[in-house]
Amino acid sequence: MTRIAAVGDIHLGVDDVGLCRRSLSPVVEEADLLLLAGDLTRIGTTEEAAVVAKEVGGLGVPTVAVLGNHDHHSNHAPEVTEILVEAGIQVLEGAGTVVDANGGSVGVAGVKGFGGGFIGKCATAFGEAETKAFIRTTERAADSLREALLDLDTDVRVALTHYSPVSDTLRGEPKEIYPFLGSWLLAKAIDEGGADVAFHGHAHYGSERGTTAGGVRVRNVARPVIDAPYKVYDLSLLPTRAPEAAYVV
Amino acid sequence: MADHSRRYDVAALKEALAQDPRTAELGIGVRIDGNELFLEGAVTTEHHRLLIEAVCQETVPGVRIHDDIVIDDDTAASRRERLS
Repeated sequence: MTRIAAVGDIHLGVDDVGLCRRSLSPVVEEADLLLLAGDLTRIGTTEEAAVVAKEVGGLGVPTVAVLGNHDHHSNHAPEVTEILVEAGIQVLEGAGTVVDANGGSVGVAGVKGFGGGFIGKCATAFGEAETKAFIRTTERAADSLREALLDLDTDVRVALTHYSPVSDTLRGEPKEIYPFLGSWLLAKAIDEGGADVAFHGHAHYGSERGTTAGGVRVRNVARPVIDAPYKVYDLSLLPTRAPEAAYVV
Repeated sequence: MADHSRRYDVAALKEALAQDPRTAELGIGVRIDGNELFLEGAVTTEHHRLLIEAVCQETVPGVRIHDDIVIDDDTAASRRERLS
């Protein structure tokens, strides 16, 4: 059994020192790794990143994160990443990592992701350069997620994003903003990359559970959704799903 | 003030709550009915909830605020789910 703790959208500001350290501390007894699904800060300053490092670093479990849109707001994502990494938090952006967990290996592929919407109700890379740039950004994120998943040779493959790969977990959010909350392209990458489970944040008023078209379980672990400091998912160490045939070469 | 202008007040307030670095909130529900401003959502601290109220007063002066924003319960125990 692999125990994966996850939470997103903790949104720590400079005044939030001491806010969540105590509530996160039991994770060392309850889980084999901790996933952070982005929006760790309010506006992405280095000062806020230092608070995150202090609150979340050194909890005693491998901790793997992606950044969220808030973490990019001040245009200091590289510096934010560096501060988190120095605190022992792995930060993934189109990359993967392997964690030894309870006798098995867990591979985590992570990317922030981006928006665009969901099948039948989504933007297309057509027309103005700005529209094309928007969708190309999502396409690049999805491609990097797929590649990172395919590179993992582990007992369990986990996809970690900030933006949602499915609309299931957005129920509760206004439908008008779904295109700003995620993209079906991420779900396609998750299916094609052979993920066993996917975690995301971003949708504070969404729902916890969903699945991709390929049947991969998706969990929205945004802090307001799980209504707890983190949630622990017990995963049986089943053989990793084979990537979809079209992507086996 | 005519009702239709209140819709622009809602838009201005949503923008202010997102852009003001004191709040940086994209998800707070805002409704203005006449002179009554209704807020809903969830934030991490009481201090942050009060900052949201301050930004509201600065952006739409004179309204009466009905604040239904809840504070995340940081004393809650973690939760579990089995996936197999």
